[in-house]
Amino acid sequence: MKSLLKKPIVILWLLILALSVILLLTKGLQYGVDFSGGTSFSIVLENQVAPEDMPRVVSVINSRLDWAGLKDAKVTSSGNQYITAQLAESDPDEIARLKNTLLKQGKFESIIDGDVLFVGEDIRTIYKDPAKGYGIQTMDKSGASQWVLPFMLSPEASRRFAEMTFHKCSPVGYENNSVVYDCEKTYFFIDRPTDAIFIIDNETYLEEKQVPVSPEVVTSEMVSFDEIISQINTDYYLVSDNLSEEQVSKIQEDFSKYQKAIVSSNVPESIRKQLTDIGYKVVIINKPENGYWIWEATGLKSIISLTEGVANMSAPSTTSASFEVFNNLTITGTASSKEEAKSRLDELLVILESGSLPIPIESISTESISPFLGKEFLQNSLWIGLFALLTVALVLFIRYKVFNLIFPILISDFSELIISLGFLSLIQFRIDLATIAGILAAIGTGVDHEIIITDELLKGTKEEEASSNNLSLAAKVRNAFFIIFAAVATVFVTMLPIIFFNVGLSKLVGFAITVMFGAVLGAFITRPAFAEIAKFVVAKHELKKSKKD
Amino acid sequence: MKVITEKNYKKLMILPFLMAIICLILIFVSPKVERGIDLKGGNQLILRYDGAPVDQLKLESSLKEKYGFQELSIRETTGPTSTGVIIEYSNSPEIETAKEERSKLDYDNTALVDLKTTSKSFLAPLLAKNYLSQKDLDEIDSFTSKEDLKVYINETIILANNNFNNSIVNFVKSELNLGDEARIQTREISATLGSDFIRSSIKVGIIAFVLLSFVIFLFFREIIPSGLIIFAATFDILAGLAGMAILGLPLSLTTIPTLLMLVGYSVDTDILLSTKLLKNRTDDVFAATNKSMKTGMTMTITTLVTVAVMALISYFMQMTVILEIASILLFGLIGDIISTWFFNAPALITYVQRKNKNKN
Repeated sequence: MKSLLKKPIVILWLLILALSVILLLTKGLQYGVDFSGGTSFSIVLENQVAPEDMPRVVSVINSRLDWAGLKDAKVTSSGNQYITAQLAESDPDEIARLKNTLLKQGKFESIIDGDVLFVGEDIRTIYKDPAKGYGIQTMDKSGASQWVLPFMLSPEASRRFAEMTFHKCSPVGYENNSVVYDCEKTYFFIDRPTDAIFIIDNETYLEEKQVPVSPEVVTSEMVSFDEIISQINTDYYLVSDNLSEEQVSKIQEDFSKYQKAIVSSNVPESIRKQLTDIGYKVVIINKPENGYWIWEATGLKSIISLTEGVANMSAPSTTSASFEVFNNLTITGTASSKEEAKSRLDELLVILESGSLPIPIESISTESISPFLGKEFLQNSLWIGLFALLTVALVLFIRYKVFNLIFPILISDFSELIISLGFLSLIQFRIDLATIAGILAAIGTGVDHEIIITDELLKGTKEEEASSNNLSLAAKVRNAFFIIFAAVATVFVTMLPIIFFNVGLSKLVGFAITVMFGAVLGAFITRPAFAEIAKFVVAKHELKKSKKD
Repeated sequence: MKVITEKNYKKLMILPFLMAIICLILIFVSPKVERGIDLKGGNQLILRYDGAPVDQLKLESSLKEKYGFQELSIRETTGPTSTGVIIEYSNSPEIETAKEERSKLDYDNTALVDLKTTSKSFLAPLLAKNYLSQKDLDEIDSFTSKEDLKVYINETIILANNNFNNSIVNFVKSELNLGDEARIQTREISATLGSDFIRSSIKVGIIAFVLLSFVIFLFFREIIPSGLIIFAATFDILAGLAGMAILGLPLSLTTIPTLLMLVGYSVDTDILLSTKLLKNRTDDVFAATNKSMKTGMTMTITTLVTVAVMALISYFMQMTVILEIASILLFGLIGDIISTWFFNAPALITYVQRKNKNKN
């Protein structure tokens, strides 16, 4: 036994096995829609996009889902024309709503003092050209970076912009021989809910009385809840347990102007019912995990301050000669790292483009599984796997009647299962039914090859085959491995095109990956290790037999 | 063990040829392997619940009456533990007509007003079916650009399709008196995605076959034995496909990987046989064949029994996907026994004997 544990291949095998167990225990497995329940959208674009544009398409799809209130969607692309989005939702009505929002681009509005400054259609071009200033610059050694996003407005919108922002800064001090200004903010919204009243519970209101201007920056300037909601031009009501009589009559009055009521999730059921009874469509908005309710509920995406230059502080009036109308505007910001600056810039780009796609969506296919069913699938797959393994053991026992030889086969197969799962955990692959089928297939070929090794080793231990008895155990194993390598190489290349020609067959990828991994693992690790163990067992077995004789 | 002998080996080859013809008839003539909704587009609704099985005929007639489907299939998948029903249906005829009308719209050469009137008229039937609301139609008037209108019309049709699918889920649930306890699985595959899948599958299949042939040739360096292995693998896939035809399983994203799995199991035994016969120095060709047959049969029978057990358990657990995979493998593995020992073995024996004769 000790000599066995000194063999490098056996050590390697045990190491990888241990590593897989650790991975499974610490990182765990990720489940696809088949097992976790949920929905998978397969989106086909009308035409192929250039590979460099694909990340943008993915981020737009992600943003659209994000704007629809879905934060945990996994969006991936496959080839140049296909995108898959996996989400945990499986309620048919909700799925229909999400599918609809996926198709739609948002409505971008920039608001100042509750008035529209410019909208998505007013933007003529967004310059994505570093020569025009677009991009990120590192500012100092700490990695703090500045991002710049230049864009051009239409002439009418530029004029309106200049007039509406005129003198929207006020001097607050004097520094280095120049006046320091505090300028007003513009609010960037996607799908600003102008057709809704807001009902907010006191608790949420108190928590968010002041919120940061940039939620992702720790030391951010604050802005008040009231300030944000005043950009919507609607009525809002603070409530605790009941609506006051005064509130009820005002809300009833509001119904002539607004159809929807956006409520925070802590607002009691009784109030929601009252609203429904009046005729409102009640929309419940939950507070996002890492964010603020007021941002989520109003569709606020970004707050950008004006600068004194844009506000024409040096011109005395809009009719003076020094009053300037800017066609080209830039938005700049700073972030603590280059990566963060990049993600802020990308996010803002999607917002200004209203989440428009470079190529329209041709169709969306959906596949939806309720969570109960998913759980059932997972449990049942495990049971089936277990029974399969037991059956293999039983058949082999009937065939060989040498218990000591069946044991290594089972251990080897079981280790292949664990290592394959460990590998899936390592690459964070979402396991689906096809993946499980792939593992079963790989283990199935594993059994085949172990039978070849076993038969090869046992050959010559019987008198009738005495002719080949003179071959050493090592030579016999070499014979077996020619067959194994040929078979494994064949299976490997059969699966190769599925991965290589990533052409929207994303459902088969899990199958192909596990079969290919199983093939390589089997050929180079588990089957050589099994061969060592089997050699050991056969040598012992023969020794026993010769002693008996 | 002497199964394949000098006397019988040539006669053995009759069986695989007959089988191949039977398989081809089963696959392409009757009952035929159909394309599943993965590959042709369509809708599928799977309901699983505890309770009495569904009255298929009644459900079929009430669904047809309400929705006027062109294609509708209802399959029961009731097992010992739970009841299930698989409903596959074509798109709503009203929505299909609306889509056709939409594609006829000539946005460039038609005035906005006319575009609005036409689209309203072809969307009207969807209003009648409650797939759209009056508000959805009224919104058409608000558009000022053709481009926006085009986007809106496309969206509206997809919205109608969503509502149509939801309406079916709710209708079936109410017909079966089911509440939220029913476990639901729905799939809706667009026709384009389906046809793209077919194109990709064929492309991937052809490349896989070329690579596979290349690798096998690389290992054996002899054209005839390599060709035989590839023929045998093809035969196994035919057997699997014939099984699908018999069981009424369509070609889908579940069954395609299963057929690929068969390639793996098939080459295992065939490579074993070829290696033994071509590298054989000591035994006579028949003894070598029979020896490798013992190993090969152990391999195939182990897999066969395991797969049969998997089929049985998945039937009891109502794991439709695994049941499908296991049943196709059963047919394929039986095919593997025939292709390896009734076709590849006799053919290889003939090849080796001729080679030896030429040498002498």
